[in-house]
Formats: sequence, structure tokens, C-alpha cells
Amino acid sequence: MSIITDHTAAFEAAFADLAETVTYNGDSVLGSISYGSEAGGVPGVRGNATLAEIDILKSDVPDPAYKDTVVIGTTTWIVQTVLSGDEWGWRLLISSNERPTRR
Amino acid sequence: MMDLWTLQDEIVTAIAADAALNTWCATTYGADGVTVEAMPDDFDLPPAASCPYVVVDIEDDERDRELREIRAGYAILCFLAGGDDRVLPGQANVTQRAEHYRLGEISQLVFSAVDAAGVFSDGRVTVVRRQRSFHTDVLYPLMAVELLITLQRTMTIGDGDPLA
Repeated sequence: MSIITDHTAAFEAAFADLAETVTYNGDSVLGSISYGSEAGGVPGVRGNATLAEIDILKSDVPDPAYKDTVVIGTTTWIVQTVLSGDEWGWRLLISSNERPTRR
Repeated sequence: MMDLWTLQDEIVTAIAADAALNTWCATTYGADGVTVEAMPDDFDLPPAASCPYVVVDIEDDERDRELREIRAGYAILCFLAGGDDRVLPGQANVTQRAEHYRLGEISQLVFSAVDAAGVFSDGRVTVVRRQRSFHTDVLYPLMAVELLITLQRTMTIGDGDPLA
């Protein structure tokens, strides 16, 4: 045991309490989701997708990539980009319900 | 007088009825055919599952009294859903090259559909410029390309005021 492993265990335990089980590229992993606004949506203009951010553990997904799929409940989301990361995990921008838009 | 709305309807009809384009939609995307609309309600655009989806808009309407000409622009937006994972021979960077390849295919088919229907070849107007630009304000799996067609009708002296 070291302070590092203690912290890792504490973080992962806290994360497990906050997160829910999602399916990432077919595998069950833990994810903490923040639902966002519609992409490009402003009053009077409909957005072209629904956006959310999801935190996942590096131990579950070491190398997230554009176009990976995340199933949350019954909805399939698509990884658009990696927003940030640290020694424990990644924060990913995901989208669903993509729609054509003219502007 | 050139009726922009009539021409727009003819463009829509030409694209919707084109056999080559509809066959491509069926073989490439498993779709019943291409979905085409003229100036649809932005709040009522179909979901990605309805692609291939084409929107025809009147983009510009310029009337110049001194030059005695009328110019009009049409923007044709073509949306595809997926299909950018095609592996092109000898290419390692699959995604973006394949995306451009697919968008290039539908661009050529749409231009060909309008040409084949003779919308611009019956003497009413002259095509000044055709150009293709990529429309980036979409998220995967959507891909989009914008086709711009600029038309001109020159008014003969004594043929009346183009702005009348």
C-alpha cells in the first residue's frame, strides 16, 4: 500500500458511487454523465445534435477514439472528441440524435 | 421573367426523379431513394436515418438594372449519414478521404441529375458557375456537402426592364 494506491482506490470507489453502468464499444464500464445542450441550438435555431460529456476510467477505456459508441440506457451516443484527461480517466464529448441542419 | 421558384421546383423534381442517383442511394445506403425538399422548415428537418437527404434553397437573387441582367443562386445541400469508413485502395487515412469520396459521388450525381433533366439548357438561363464546398457544421455520422449553382439571364435591349 502506498499513498498513491490509497488515493486511487478512494477515487475509484467515489467514482463508482457517482457513475452508472454504460456500454462502451460493447463492454460494460462505469461512466459519469453530464447532459448538455443541443449543438448549435440557440433560440430560434434548432441544434443539430444532443450533446453530453461523460467521464470514464482509463482502466476501463485506455484509448478512447472518435466514433466509439456509448450506449446509455437505450440510446446510442457517439464519441466526437476527447475533451480532457488525467491519470485516472477521460472526459469525452458525446452526441446523439444527430440531425441535418442548414446553418 | 425568370421565375426562381419554378426553377427551384424543377431542380427538386430533377434530383428526386434521377434514376442513377436513386440507384446509388439504394446500393450505397440501402435507402428507398433520395429525399429531396425545397426550403424546408428548419425545425422540421428529418432525422439522420432519412439520409441521403437533399435540400434546395434559393441562395441569392440579384438584379442589376445597369448590366440588364438577373443573377440567381441555388444552394443544394446534400446530407449523408455514415459511409465514411470505406477503405480506399492504398490509403491509410481512411476516414476523411472516404468522406470526401462519398460526398464527391453524390455531388456528381446531383449535378448530373439537374443537367440530364435539362433544367438549365432550354435557353431560359445560363449557368455562370458551379462550385462545391464542404459544409462542416454537422457531427458524425452526418456528412454534408454544399453545391452552389449561379445562373444568369441577360436581358436583350428592348426586352423590357429586368426589374419591372
